[in-house]
Amino acid sequence: MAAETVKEPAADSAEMTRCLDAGEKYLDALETAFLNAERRAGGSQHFYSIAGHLLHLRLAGDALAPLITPPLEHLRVSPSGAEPDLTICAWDPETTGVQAPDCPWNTGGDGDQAKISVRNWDGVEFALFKGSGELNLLDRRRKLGFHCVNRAAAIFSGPLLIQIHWWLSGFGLHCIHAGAVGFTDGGALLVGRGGSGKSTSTLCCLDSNLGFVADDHCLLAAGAKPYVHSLYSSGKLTPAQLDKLSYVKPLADSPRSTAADKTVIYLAQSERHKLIAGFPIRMVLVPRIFGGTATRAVPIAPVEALKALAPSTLFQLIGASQKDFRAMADLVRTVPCYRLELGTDLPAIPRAIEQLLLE
Amino acid sequence: MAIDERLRYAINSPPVVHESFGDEAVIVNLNTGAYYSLDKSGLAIWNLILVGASLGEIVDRMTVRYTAAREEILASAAELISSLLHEELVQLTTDAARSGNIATDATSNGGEKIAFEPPLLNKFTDVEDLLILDPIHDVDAAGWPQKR
Repeated sequence: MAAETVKEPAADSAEMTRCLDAGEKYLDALETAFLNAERRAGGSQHFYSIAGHLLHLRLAGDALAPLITPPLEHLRVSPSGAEPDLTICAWDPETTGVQAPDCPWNTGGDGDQAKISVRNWDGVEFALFKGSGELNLLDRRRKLGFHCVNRAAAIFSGPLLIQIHWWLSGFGLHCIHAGAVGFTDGGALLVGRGGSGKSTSTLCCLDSNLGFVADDHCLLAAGAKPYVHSLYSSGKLTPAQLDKLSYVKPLADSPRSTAADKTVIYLAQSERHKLIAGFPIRMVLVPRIFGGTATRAVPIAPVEALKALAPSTLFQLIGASQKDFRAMADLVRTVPCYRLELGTDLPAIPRAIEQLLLE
Repeated sequence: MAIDERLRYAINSPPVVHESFGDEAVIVNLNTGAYYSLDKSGLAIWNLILVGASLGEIVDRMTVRYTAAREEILASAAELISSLLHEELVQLTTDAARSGNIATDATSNGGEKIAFEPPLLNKFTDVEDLLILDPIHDVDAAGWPQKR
């Protein structure tokens, strides 16, 4: 989702100054609210190295930790005293008893439950989901973010995606909707919307020679030598997909890992040996479910791969831009693209991918 | 109603992002969850819009490249632009400063004229359910409020 041109800009510099002051006070109020939550409910601190950038996650209370941290577990690092590139302060109002402060601007009426309030100013990005009350804010100047969300609304297969997208886009890293499997010296991106066979293809590679970087979202460093970095070590599957993947099914034994109609699996503990931090992207694969048992790859035009990758990526991000789209376009222009025609013999899928990578 | 050939259009960015490949452009409307493709004469018109051509200039350039009569190309181009406006992919602009780029636009083929096929805007809505939510307060990439 993009940010549009403001329709009624502030009339004069005094008005702008007033708005900026209100923004600054709001940031201070958020910080105070988080510190109150931390004081009342205790807290924990977590450090992650995401594509070489140090994230410091401060959690108030203990409700969010089991929801936010498992998909990031494989990126956890020990505190080293190094200055974090970003600190995100997160809390839930329900267990800490601390609500997020009111915004100094109109965020719409109660009838706008399906809306999102988006603002940005002077290096600050803000998004408030009206329905769930989930608040996301990134202040680039202070290298500080805030995330306030009720437990029931926490997106625990891909937590903090919005902040990470805002944050790392400044380093030329683009959050993309793609699976990624391969070897440390090169691998494949698997792209496509839900139901295309992307997750089935990606997760059945766990039972193969291929390493795992991502099922759903990962970080693209575009350029002459495109590279993908791991972001989440989680996967999402429907019950039908899970039934087909006998190797993966035992990994989904936790009742808390069911989100909507999909089961979330966490790989950092049991499948750590399969996880790799990233690899140079050698090809883009667009899975399609076909009849027959065999899986085969058919070369396709770059633009076809872009259509499979870009819309589903861009529509899931707040503040997606031409720069993100260009990065994906550059990727499909740089590496070969194939349609992966999936057969019913699931072990044949990773074999087909491995064969492509070895050619 | 007479078509005003002096009108110029600009891409409705930032919500509209686009990329051109050799024979096809992909256009995404980040506000609606729809994406589009243009090829052949549609791609040529799109590329001329990108360089700031007016409708009349678009048609003039197209008549150099295609075999169809000017009236036919004008009607087709106007219809495509009407669709682009309806889908909020372009907007009217008064900015004529970019029109000097037209001489170097992508429709220059330098060879024989080719057959004209009316442009078709292909629309895809298969992933619009992924659009997070509707924005209710939109701002531009420079931020709000903007410092002067």
